[in-house]
Amino acid sequence: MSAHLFNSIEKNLAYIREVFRDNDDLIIRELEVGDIFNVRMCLVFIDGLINKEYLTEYAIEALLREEEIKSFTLKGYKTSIFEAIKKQILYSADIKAKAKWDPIIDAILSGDTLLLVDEFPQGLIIDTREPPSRGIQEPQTETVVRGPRDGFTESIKINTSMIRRRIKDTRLKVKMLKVGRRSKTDLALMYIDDIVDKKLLDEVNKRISAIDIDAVLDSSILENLIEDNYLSPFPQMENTERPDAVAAAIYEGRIAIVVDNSPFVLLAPATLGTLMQSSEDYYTSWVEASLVRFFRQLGLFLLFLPGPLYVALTAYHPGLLPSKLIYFVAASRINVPFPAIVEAVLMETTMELIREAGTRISGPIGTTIGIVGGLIIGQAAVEAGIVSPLMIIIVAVTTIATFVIPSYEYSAGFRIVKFGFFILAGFLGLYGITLGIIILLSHLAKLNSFGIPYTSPYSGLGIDEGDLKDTLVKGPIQSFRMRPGFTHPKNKRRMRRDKKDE
Amino acid sequence: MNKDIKISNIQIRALIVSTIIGIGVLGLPNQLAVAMEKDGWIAIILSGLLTIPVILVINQIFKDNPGKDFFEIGESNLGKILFTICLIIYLAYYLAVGAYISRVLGEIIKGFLLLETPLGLITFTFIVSIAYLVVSEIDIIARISYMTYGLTIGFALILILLAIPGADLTNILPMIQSDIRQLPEGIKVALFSFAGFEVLLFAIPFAEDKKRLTKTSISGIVIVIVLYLVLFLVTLTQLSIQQIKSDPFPLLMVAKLINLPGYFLQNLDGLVTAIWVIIIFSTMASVYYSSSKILSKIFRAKSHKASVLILIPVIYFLAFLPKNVIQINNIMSNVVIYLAMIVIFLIPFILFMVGRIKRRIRQ
Repeated sequence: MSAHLFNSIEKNLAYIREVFRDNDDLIIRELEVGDIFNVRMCLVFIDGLINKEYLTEYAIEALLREEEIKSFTLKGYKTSIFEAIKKQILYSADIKAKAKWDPIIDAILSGDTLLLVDEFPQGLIIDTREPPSRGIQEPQTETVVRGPRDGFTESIKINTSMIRRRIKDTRLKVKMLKVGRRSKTDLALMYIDDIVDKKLLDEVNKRISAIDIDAVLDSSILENLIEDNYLSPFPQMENTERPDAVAAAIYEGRIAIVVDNSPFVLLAPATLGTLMQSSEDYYTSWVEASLVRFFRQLGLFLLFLPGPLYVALTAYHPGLLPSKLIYFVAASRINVPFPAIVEAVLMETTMELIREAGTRISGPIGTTIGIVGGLIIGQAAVEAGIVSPLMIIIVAVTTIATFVIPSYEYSAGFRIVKFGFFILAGFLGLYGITLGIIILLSHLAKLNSFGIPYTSPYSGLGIDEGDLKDTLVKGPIQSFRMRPGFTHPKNKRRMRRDKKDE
Repeated sequence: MNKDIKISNIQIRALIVSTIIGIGVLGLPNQLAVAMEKDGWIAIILSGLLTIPVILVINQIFKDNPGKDFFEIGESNLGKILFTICLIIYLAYYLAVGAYISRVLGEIIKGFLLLETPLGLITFTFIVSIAYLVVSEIDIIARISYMTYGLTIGFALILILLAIPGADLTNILPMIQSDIRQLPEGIKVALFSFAGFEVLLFAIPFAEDKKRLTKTSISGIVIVIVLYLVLFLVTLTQLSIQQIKSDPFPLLMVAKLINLPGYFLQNLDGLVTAIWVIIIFSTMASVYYSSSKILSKIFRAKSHKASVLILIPVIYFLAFLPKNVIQINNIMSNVVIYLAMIVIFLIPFILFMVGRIKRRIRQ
């Protein structure tokens, strides 16, 4: 199909009408330019994707008003009318001449306008793109008390420019690619050329070019397509709505993948260390940030361990608890008719239902769900003696802990793992939980993110470079003189503190 | 040899520490006390130092044959038939150790945590869980080792800190009271608790930084010596020598005696057992990995995944071959210990010497 344009404008228009048959939002505006010869031209675009005012003012008006063009013949006398329009007449900033149909049709579909001139087998692509988009708003998922408040939108152009604003360096590369046979989704790879590890970059490029799918609607689909182990419940790429987080990651030697139509930018590679970092950590005092990190790590364990531990301790090893605590637990469970595992599964199921209902419905009804779910069911269940109050507390703490983890997908992975731990604890008690930890550790150790061990820096990579300073705790900014080691950055030094370092 | 597999030096150190520290650490104070009373620490230091020449030899073997892995070196130095016999000895040793670990783990879990669960179920679930890790390559096991290495050291530190309030230092004294003739028996016991560093045979070919490797591997052994020493002394300060002699797992007894401040948790023995399972896990992982790798090499299979699956029932069966703990201990101290000496000390030396002699002849 990739044929050349025809000489005759009639044939070209017929071709476009054929290709865009039944597309009623296609608009063809025909013009006749010039006083003497009345050269036929036409503009082709799709209604809604373009900025019409811009087109009217800077293309149509220019063509009809300019004195120079009125006296032109078809072939012109110095240059052809086509060249003259391109070079002298149109006011638009971005114009390209194309001779083949495929790129032209892609451009029209992306919101560019095609200008055809009679007797010329070429088309001019005028950049008039203005897809409907919302303005820059504060991110919904990663709010900060202190720090920038701009968040990504659905437009790739706006997103890449927000990142560029933070890295004013020619070595920041923005490589545009397309994925999706039908959706032809734009995506941009962003990285700093002299920091990023070439092997990592090749790997990302290789995986993206291997994709053959009809549509990529969101960055999450791309993430699933290129991550190392798509069967794992844990995310092997990070996603964020915050341009500052992306810029920071790029400075660390990681690669950002911006996908059109998605406000979530992907970052590769991701490790257990990076998934626990939040951008707020870098805007508050390092002492506070370290404290918060500590509680976050604690939250990670509270996310999946207390429930199974409760089941294991009450059912198998009450002797491990101090005597006072045993009496308390026994007294609180005295009326409960179920074994601990049933009680736990019951409450966890309820909690998952409340969470799902609350996520789908927001606003006033959401509050109702919170009250009915949290207060009434919890209170009634305890008073009716179906579950023990201790179980309610454990489920509540577990649920709160899921929101402490900065990465939603990461905490969701542990939420899934939790159910496995419940089963193991129900069958094998504390030993079952230990087995669960063994399998979990094995799984995490087996995972890679674009060839980087997922368990970095806890499994050895990056320890020598001091990556623990920015994972377990968050050291003062003065201590981050080197880029983290897990990305194998080419340029290692981040900060010079005195003359000696230079 | 797969060139994509890379292990960093700190991971190798961790691999040594986590592989060595395993099943032995719980019972070591008991065995040493039986052999040498309070002077067990001499045996720990001496046998620790005895392993260092072996480590130097193993390192030298790989320096003499750069770019080759253990199997390639063995085959070119000893020839196919002789080396296959060596591999079978290795396999027998590893399978015995693997079965021993699984069985003792089962017995301890049954004794301390799950009184009514069938022993077979505990052992079987343990082997299967580890099989999940072992189907992957040694770099993944090195990552796990690094994590359990941190856990082991942290855990030992916490145990020591908690033990300080109840420590009776006079228990350690008087030192050097034992008969010198008891020393060989003590060293025999202690030496076996250092078994595990032979994992270097499988790890060194994949090391990233080969220059500092010897230093790293020796530092690993030093860490183990220090840990063993400290744990032995902590046990001495907590329990009387008679108690240590009569309890097969004195460290668990120590944990039982410790009360966390505020009495939030009592009877730490259950918790210690649970955490100790994770420490055992890395030991078992290297043992299981080594045995499945050797099995696949004997049958010239490309991947060791199939041997991992085949070995699940084999290890399980071997674990239940002895009828009771006494039989297990008999087999261990009469057969496996000597097998260990051959595998750990003799074969690396033979490999090294034959390699050197062959080189001489060629020149």
